[in-house]
Amino acid sequence: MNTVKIDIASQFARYPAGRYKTDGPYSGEVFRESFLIPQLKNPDTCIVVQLDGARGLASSFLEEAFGGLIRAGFNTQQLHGRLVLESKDASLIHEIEEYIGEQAESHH
Amino acid sequence: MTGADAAPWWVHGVTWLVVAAGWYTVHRATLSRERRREKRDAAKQLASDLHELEKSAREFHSAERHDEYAAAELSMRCDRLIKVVQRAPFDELKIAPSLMTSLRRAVTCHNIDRTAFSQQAANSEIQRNIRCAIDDLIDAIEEAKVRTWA
Repeated sequence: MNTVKIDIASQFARYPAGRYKTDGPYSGEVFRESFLIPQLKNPDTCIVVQLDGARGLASSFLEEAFGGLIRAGFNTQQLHGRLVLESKDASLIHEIEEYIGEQAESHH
Repeated sequence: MTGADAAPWWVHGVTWLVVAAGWYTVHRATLSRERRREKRDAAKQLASDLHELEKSAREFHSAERHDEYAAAELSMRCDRLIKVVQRAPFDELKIAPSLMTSLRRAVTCHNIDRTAFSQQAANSEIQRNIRCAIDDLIDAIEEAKVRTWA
C-alpha cells in the first residue's frame, strides 16, 4: 500500500478556515475535495494527515473536511487504517474521530 | 581539657552531616511547595484566560454582523488554550480530551463562518453550549488541581 503524507500547514494552508468553498479558498470542503478524496479514491493508498503546524483549526473546518468524507460516500471500514491522523494535540484527533463516528452513525 | 575536645573526630563529621541533611530536606520541601504554588497560580491564570475566551466568544456570536478577523482570532485563541491545557504543567492533571473537544466544538463549529453566521441571543443553544463547555473545563482543571497539587 502506498503512503501519501499530507501536511495541512505546508501543502494546504497555515491558517485553514471556513466550512464551505463559499467561506474561502482554505475551507474544509476545499481540503476534502482537493486532498482527501482524490487520494482515498485509490484503494491502495493510505494517507497520513499531519495536523500540527496549521493554526487555529476550527471545528467547522474539521467537521466538513473529515466528517464530510462519510457524507461523500466513504464508510468507516474504507477509512479504517487508510486515514491516519498525526498531531501532538490529542484533542484534535479525538474530535475528528468523533465527527467521522457521528456521521457514520447518522448515515447508518 | 573540655568534653567537646575529648570527642572523637568523627562525631563532628556526623553533626555536620545531620545539619546538611536537615538543610537539604527543608530546602527540598520549600522548593516543592514553591513549585506547587507556581502551578496553582498557572491554573488560576488559565481559568482567567478561559473566561476571557468565553467573553470574546459571547461577543462574537452575539454581534450583529460577522467579523472575519474576530472569527480567526477566536479560533486561534481557542486552539492555543487547548494546547496549553495539554502542556506542562497541566499535562500532570490529565484532563480528558473530550472536554477540550467540547470547548472547540462549542466555540468554533457553528456560527463561526461567514456563510452560516446569524446573531445569537444570550440564551441560544450556541451561547449556552459555550458557557457549559468553558465551565466544564474549568471545573475539571480545578478538581484535578486540588487532587494533584494540594
